[in-house]
Amino acid sequence: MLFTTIEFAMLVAIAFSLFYLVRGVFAQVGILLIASIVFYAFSSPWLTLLLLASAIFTSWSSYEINQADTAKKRKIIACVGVMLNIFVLVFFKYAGLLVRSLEDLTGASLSGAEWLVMLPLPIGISFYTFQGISMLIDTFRDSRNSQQASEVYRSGQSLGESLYYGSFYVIFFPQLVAGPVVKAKDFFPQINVKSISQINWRLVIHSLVVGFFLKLVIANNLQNQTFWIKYPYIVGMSADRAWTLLIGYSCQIFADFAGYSLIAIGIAALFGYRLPDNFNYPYLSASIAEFWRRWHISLSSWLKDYLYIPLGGNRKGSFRTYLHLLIVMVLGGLWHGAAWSYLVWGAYHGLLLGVERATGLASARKGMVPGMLGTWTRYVVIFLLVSLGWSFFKLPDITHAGLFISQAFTAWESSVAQKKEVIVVATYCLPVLLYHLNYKLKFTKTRPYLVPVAYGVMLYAIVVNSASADAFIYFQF
Amino acid sequence: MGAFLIISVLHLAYLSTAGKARYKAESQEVENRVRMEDFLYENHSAKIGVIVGTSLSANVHHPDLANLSFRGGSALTALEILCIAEQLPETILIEANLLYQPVDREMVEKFESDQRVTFPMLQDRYRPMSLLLGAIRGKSENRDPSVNLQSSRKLNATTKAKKLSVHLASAAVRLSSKELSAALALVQENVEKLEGLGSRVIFYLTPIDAEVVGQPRHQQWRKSFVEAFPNRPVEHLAISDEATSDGIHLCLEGNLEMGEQLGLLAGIPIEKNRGK
Repeated sequence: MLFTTIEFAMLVAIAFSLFYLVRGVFAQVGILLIASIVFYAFSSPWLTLLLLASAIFTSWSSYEINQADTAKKRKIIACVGVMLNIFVLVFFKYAGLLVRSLEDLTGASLSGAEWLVMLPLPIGISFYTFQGISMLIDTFRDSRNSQQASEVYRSGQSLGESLYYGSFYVIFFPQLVAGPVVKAKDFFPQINVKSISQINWRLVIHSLVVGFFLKLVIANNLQNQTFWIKYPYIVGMSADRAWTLLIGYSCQIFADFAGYSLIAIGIAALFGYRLPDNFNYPYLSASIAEFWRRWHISLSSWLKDYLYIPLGGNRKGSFRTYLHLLIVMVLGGLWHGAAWSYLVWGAYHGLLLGVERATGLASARKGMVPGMLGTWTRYVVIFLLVSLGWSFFKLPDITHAGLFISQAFTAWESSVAQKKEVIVVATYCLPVLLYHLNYKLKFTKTRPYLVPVAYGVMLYAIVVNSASADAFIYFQF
Repeated sequence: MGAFLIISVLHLAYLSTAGKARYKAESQEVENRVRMEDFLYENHSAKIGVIVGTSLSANVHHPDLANLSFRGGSALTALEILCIAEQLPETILIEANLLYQPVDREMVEKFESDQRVTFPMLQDRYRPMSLLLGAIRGKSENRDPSVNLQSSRKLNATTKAKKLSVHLASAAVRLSSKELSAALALVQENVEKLEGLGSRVIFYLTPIDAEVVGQPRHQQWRKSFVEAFPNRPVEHLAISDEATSDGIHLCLEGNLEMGEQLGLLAGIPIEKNRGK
């Protein structure tokens, strides 16, 4: 079920009405559980069973970690739980890639393994397995410190309650299929009785208006332009056209994902739950390191807490630090999709991070070009580097991505970028630019009367200038 | 809300002045809907016929034929919408090459509703981006398509080979029996409706490269179509320049000839065309 459909609006309206009619946290959570199951089952009825099985198994494992009487038992249960989540993710998402890659490498036809290629990809599997892993690890970490109250489990919680609230955390519908990835320790303390007077309406309205505007007006319309970044249309494409479309795609992917995240935050806020911000004006980054503190914050925070730091972070010497960075970025890249191009994308960012670290560029504030000019130059350079990396997202076939990038750097013949295309892409990218500039230059903070004007313009654009509802880009992850 | 209302008023005010004559579609998808809006909401009774097809026919121009060929779309979508039109021309020329492509239900639903008539600012030709492009360009391309004819150029052999390989690969896969029967049923249903409303329906095939015609999907479709409609001839257009840019899209010269040939099929003599 897409956020931009009538069916979803009806689901939210019904859930909202019932949620504030019932009494007690158990009943309220029950409403949201049912709504979440309906939300997921609407498009994937059979795969809902996998989702529920994953949620229940993970919740049960978390309960057992809490109940285990020795550290060794807790560790074993946590490891088994995490590995099973990873297995489910790898099996459904990457088995097909491995089979196809083996066939390409060996030239042999693995006809017995074809069924692995045909496996359906459960929507949101990357997100809900990660949340499951978060629950297991946070419970395990809590259990090591018996002096401190658990952030995940209430004292005396029964198995039934653990399964109930644990499943709720994993399948809560606003963030179920495309995030933000919410850590268990940040979500569980919020599970209590909610009242309608507690709703942060400012957050709800801002998130929903801006979110739907970014998705329906910016991302969907840009999609009709960046459609041409596709084989065979990229063959013979001029460099200026390639860059026009690539910049358009950068704005599209931001608008699509940030828009979705904002809608998720707004919907969750309607029910009194605060999801973490997922984007912090990422195209105003003066380094790749800063970009990753601003882009898909929930994922990079998850990777840092549950992968980078456990590997050793930057505490094991220079070589290991660079290695950890590369591992995290490569796995983070591969998480985005079952294609080697995502691995390449992750490695690209890993290498850039390594170069920044080695040269001290990430923290350089003075030097090459001083002052405001230097800062804005860095913003532009980082934006262009990040945009180049998006080629691997748009063109999952590495040879096609390579062809497109080579066109972008070599095909500087006489300009053949259509004027119309440049105007359209620039016009739809303009709100993304203004969104970032507003953060930096604080237009609306110093001129609050602009806020309702901006909302009015966005609402009007949603009504008259939207493009067709389409799956969010990150649904495929 | 105030800002929303003010902008609506300004939008309507612009439409009631210069805006209605100045618009330009920003993308293929929007252009398809604009073509349909121009046909449905403007007075097209002067048109003798309408062409319904895909990108294979989208570059065809004839002064007496409306062109409802959708780039990246399906001829069946246009047929479904035509069935709800208030006025239909005498002749409907249907491109049969890719008639199996699925209907865009979302687009059909948009035109089934009266909202676009009641609120003209909801029409794609009047959306802010269309008006902006129209104002910059100064003239709507849809008012004078012969001037802004988008033609497929004769590209070089290497580029054509790459594009052709993509078409060959997709046409190598046969349609499932479910897809095939659904498409044929829809064609039957829509054609019967349109003929019931008084229009004459003619099927035609645009010339495409022999390599593509020989592919399983095209062979399957042509055979099934003939079997399903044994009493309906499918006209093979006699075009001297059948060169394509990618195996399926005719180049400029072919499109010009196709316009004349379709006019002939609709009963418009060539002498009437020449000089237009």
